Amino acid sequence: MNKIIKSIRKNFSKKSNLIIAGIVVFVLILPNFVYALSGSGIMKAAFRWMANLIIKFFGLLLRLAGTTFEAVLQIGFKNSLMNVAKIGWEVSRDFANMLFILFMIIVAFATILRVERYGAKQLLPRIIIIALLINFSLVICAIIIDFSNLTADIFINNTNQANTDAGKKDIASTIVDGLQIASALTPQDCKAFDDKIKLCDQKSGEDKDDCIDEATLAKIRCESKMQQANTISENDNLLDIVSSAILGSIVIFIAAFSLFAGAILLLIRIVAIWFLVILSPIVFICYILPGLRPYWEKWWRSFINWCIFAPAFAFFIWLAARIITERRTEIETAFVGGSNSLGSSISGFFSVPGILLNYLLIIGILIGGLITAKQLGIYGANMAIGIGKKMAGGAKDWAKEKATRGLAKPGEWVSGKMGAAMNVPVLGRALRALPGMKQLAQAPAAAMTAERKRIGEERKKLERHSNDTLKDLFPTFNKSQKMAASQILATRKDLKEGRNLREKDIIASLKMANRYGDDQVKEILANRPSLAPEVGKSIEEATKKINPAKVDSVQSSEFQNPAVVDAMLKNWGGGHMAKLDETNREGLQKIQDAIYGLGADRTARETALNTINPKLKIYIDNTALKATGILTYD
Amino acid sequence: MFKPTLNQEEIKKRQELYLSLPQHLRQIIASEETADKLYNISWGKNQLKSDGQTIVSFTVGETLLGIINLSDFASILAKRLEIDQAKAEKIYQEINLEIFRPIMAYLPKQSQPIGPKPTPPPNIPTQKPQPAAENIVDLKNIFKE
Repeated sequence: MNKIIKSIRKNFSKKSNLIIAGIVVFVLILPNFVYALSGSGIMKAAFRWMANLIIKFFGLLLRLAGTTFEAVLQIGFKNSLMNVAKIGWEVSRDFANMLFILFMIIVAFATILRVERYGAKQLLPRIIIIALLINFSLVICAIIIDFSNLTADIFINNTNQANTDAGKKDIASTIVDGLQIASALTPQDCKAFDDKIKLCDQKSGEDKDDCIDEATLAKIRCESKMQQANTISENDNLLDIVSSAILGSIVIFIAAFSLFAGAILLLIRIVAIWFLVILSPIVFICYILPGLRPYWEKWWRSFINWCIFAPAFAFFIWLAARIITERRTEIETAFVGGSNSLGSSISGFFSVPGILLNYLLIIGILIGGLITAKQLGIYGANMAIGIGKKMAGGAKDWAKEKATRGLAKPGEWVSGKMGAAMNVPVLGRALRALPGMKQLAQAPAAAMTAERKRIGEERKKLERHSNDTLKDLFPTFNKSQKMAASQILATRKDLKEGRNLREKDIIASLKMANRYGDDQVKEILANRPSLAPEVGKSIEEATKKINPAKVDSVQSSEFQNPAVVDAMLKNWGGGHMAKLDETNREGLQKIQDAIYGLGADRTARETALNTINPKLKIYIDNTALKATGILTYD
Repeated sequence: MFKPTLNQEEIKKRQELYLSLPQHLRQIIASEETADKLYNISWGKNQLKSDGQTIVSFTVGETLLGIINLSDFASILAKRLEIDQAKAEKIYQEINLEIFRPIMAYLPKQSQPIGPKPTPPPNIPTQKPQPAAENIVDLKNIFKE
């Protein structure tokens, strides 16, 4: 649209002088010259015939524009057409998924070669987001398109409903009829009113009479107009005829142009949205690589632009139709009421300022609506892109954190394995020779070390606080501080719910700690072995890692958990029992209860314990503690 | 063979008794090290099976609690294990050497052996024996007489 306007401006600036000169010559000089020459009715008739022909031509053009516009409106906001895009989208999505693998390889090589621009650290969050979005791109597009179409439909339906209530046809007819100059100047098929009268005949009661009266009156007016249009009035002079023809043509042409432009833009919108939807998976992939990022932005700009265009343009159509409906009587009177001929109707049109203003207003709204809708689309798209960037920034941070932490352990594993591999004589030499291999082996470990260092620093700062203070402040801590506080409380054997520290906080801290290695988790699990499944470990594994010196770390509540006590019975030895005896005799009693639960009698219990934990059986057989009535089979 | 079973009342009394013991002694009773020593003596040196091991450790426990007098240990053990006195005495000596003797000072009074005091633990320094006065030759005065 902008290009069209620019082109018109450009051409107009170059040829304006010629056009103005031509109009002046044609409108002012030529008719007078002809009039002066002839002054006869033959010449007048010839000019009238030519003027009528031009007006008729533009009138038909207007009708055609109205019909096209209406047809496009009918399909413009229908979602069923999305099926066409869906077929193409599926192919595009499959292709994008294939490209995804390629990108992963590029990222892998870039990481190995230490090309910072394509570093895994920067790309991983995006890859994670886009891997999901590619497969949901159709849904995302469909939601936005639906929103756009539904909003546009509200205006279109509202206009259609108003027309139906008023006994009119559709939006385009309303607008074309509203621009009554066309119907005043162009021949109509008045036989259509006969059909309407026949339809009225089928009704009954007062409605029938009113309907017939209205249709008959409309037919009479139509025939009258036809007659006027073909009548050569003696009052018309050549100047009136020529100026009427030219000005009338311009006005009708502008009206037709606005309707055609609207129809074409709506058609372009449909096709553009199809293309954009089809390309969406590939464009989403462009977001991953920095070099292709502009295409992603361009796509969104274009997509939002076309989506906003629909409701904005529909609003202006509704506005135009509404003005026409409101001012209908005034317009009809001006064009039909008093005029007897072409010249007088044109003169009437131009002589009544209110009518001219109405007409210009409608045309202005239609053309201005097109331009404004496109502008709104551009502004809206820019705004949406801006918001999208901010949101993407947030999502990226989130995904980056998840990815970094999710990859921390595998990264450490890879790092460890790579490091180990580099120490192998021949293979190690070969690996070290590869560019970037050494750094690849060290990078994840370095990141882990940095994070552990941060936690260590936080731990030093928080050590001075009491357990109660740490629990009170817990919700205000950042993630590193929470991990540090959890570890402090675990060391102080007080990692349990209380004050502002909730069970879910403990679990969250444990999960975070798990991303930074076993040593970080060990302390927490020594307090709460029952939480081991939260980090994908078994309770048995957790209890096994608790050495006798740490037995007093285990919270008393843990001994209420049969699974934990069972795991202790399976994995703990005499040292653990001795420490339990010293620090938690209730806990030791729970172990005794578990021994009783191993079998119905002494022999069964002995046999069962010998199977599950022979080391503990030897201890129980030989401990002097049994003289106190604890740790016995009887 | 003897069954080291206790009723609830006995358990309660023994628990109270146990808790009244010095911390150091309680640690020795419950320690894995003590259990290992007893295992070595019962199984390693005397081939006592699970039941036998249980009786030995139970009797040691009772001794450490002060329920059994140390001097009665061997005879009670012989009775409980249904073994001859000599073998029981041998086991006692081994246990005494490994477990009782090092902690003799901490044992409850009733566990202390009756009669002459046992030799102090080897880690306690002892006085050097003084030579008898008549065996000393006074070289200064030897010729005065």
